[in-house]
Amino acid sequence: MLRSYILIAGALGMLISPMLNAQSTWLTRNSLTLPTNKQKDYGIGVIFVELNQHNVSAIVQRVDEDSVAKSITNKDALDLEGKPIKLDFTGTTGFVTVNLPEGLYQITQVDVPHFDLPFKVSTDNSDIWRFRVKPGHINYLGLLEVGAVRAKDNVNVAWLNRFATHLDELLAAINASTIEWPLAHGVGYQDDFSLLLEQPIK
Amino acid sequence: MKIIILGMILASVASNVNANKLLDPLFADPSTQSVRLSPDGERYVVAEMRPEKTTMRVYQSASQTVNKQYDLARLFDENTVLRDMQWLDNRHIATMLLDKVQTKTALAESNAQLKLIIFDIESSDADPVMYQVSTPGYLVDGAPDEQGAFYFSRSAHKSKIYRIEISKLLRVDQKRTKLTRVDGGQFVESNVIANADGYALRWFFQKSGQPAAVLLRTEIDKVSLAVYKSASNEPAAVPEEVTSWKLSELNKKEKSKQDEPFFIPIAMASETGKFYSVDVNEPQAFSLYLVDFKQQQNELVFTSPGQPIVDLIFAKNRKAVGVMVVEQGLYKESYFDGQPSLLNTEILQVVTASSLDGKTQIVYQESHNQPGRYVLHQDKKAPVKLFNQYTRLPDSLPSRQVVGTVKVDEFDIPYILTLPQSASKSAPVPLIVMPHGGPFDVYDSSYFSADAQFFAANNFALLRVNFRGSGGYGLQHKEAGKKQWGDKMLLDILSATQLVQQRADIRSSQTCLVGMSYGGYAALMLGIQHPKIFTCAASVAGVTDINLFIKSPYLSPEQQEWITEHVGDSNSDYAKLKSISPVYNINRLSIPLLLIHGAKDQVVNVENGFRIKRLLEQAKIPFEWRLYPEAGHDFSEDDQLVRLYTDILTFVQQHVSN
Repeated sequence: MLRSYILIAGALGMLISPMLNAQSTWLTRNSLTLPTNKQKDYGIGVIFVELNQHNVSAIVQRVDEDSVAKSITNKDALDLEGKPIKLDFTGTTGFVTVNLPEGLYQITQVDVPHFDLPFKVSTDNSDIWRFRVKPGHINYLGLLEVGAVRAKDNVNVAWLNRFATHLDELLAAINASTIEWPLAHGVGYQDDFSLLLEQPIK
Repeated sequence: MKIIILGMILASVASNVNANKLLDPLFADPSTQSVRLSPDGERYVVAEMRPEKTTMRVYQSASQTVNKQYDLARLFDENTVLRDMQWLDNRHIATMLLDKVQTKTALAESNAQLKLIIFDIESSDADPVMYQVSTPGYLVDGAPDEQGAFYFSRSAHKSKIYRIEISKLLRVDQKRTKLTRVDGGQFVESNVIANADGYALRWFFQKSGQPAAVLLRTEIDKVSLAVYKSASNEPAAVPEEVTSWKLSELNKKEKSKQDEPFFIPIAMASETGKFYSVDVNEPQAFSLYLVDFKQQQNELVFTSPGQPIVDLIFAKNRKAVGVMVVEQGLYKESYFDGQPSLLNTEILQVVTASSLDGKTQIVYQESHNQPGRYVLHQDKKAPVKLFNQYTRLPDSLPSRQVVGTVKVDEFDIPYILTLPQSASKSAPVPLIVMPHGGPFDVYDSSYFSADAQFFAANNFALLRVNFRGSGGYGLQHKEAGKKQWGDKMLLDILSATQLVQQRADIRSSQTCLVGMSYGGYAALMLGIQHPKIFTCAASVAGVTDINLFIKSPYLSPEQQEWITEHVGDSNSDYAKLKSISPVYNINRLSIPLLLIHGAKDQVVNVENGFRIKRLLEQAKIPFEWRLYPEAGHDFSEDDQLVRLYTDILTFVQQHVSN
């Protein structure tokens, strides 16, 4: 099974939807920036991006956490709230930060245009495509990977949980900044690994 | 640094170890070869594919001498890769070529346009004649009983098969002028031999060469089987739909309907209108049916007693006479009429090609210490070996093999033990236990194994266990592995280890675990749980956090569903899966550990490796770590396998010598 799986990650289907309310000013690139005073209950989100295509962006939206339990068996039952937020990754590589209000978020789609043709990859409300922002924390959200090989209607897109993989690099970046917020593993589903880091294992 | 360590190891174990024996012949040769026999059996063509070039050689069967040689890199360019080849008649070989870049991923290959080039092997060496088909489509088959022609499908919303004459095609090097037409102007209605209303996926032919049926996609969600009128020679004849399937139902069968058969045709029978079919509602293909879709009748032809059918065996008249199954981990031919099998449990022997008269055959053979070889059988002549699959290995290798079972919970768990020839009571050898990856459906066979021969050549015994969940031993054996990743599967491996450790020719105090993928998981968990039984553990691309593995974005929804059923649900079974994950048990590790992971692994996220690494560093527990920045899950690029097996051998040699 493990050896035999063929990469099927991306191309979860094509969604045509109107362009949503973009708040790209929230995205600050390649630096850690504290939210402004007006942004109460915000956290800093850190996304690592490995993009092999141009003009990649993602739409994220806050999840009504009361709907999460019923969405386990019925993904359509997931309720999203608030305005969709566009994260524009154009021209970025490595760590990207985004300041967001606390909460659980769903990445609802990733836009990977093919030249001037729009192409949107839906994430089908899967909990794999979620992240959590804790207020007053620097939250590691995940790795967004977009493959180099593509067709006009197909490309490999993945959202990966790489907390331990990026931890040393992330801690170095945090230590080099003046921000003293604690680090959190902003994974969008149950993952107890970060608890192990808080308690020495021997 | 590595040289110094290796030197120390060599010095310490020089008395009984020949470092890295067989490493290059087994793991450094990236070439692959395939062979096809001409219809009259008088010639065969061997393609040798290497990263830098592909060469096709045409041999005379009688003398096994090279008649023609084609270097595809020289004829085309260095990026040309051979995808497949087929004799169209005794003079023409069709080759399907594509660009090397398009072989890199399944996604790219599925979008790649294969180039159809036809070689005329009777043309002169100085001026080799090659024809090219420029029109998009695919080769269906050579025209039966006709020299110099073949059938070619253009699949679109309306699909057609054209009869194409080879000599009318343009030559590869021929310049187009105002007087030449694409493909000799042959893609015209007068050459159409069959029509179908939809995108043709597969055509079925009568022995006479007349199209009999077509499997085609007629709508986005619909695949139809349409049958031509048996007596119709009219190319314009439209096949009549006899049945159809909704793809959405095929991909995700409704639970309530799973008891009803859901037949899919896989080959046309000699009887008009009937198709050999399998029932996709069976968890695997255990039964073969003859189905008349029009009359909605089916007849059970053969039921394999617990072993899935992997292929059909046809007689010359297109009548299926048997099936190929996997039994006790070995390929076996089972005939409907009770003919004795060509196979036994010692040697794998499969007829891979046969001339039309059946007098000339190419047979593939291998056994546990005999690397795969192709043998030419000609009427009344002694068989002749054509070539070995491993070009740099001798015909046989000095090792011994013991196949046995161990009883665990009323299950007979098969194991395969490979020993160096020299292993004896007076000279016992260290043991490596190597659980296979997968773990479901995958199994270790007792035929040739590169792993077994490598470790045996380096003076280790290698134990492989087909624990519960493994394929090749029937449905019950496989299903018994459900949700047993960290329980019964490990118990099976442990029990086989303890049994083998009792042998006098095994140095039981020196037993190391080596595993890849699921095997890497098993190596870690068994090493953590049983430090008195295992001396060291090497985990390659291993799952260390099962919940993390289940949350892989690389899995399709169907694969996620399958994993939930067979491994566990990361929502409802989170605590259980956590308890059997190495990451949450690593505090108990007390034996030397080697961790290896490819940074580009898209099956087991490299995060699995980094999690263990982080925890061991935090706890200041010594271990060895190798990150292969360019490697994926199978370490198949460049020299990765050579480096991988060097790392593993160095590690186990160091720790068994201590």
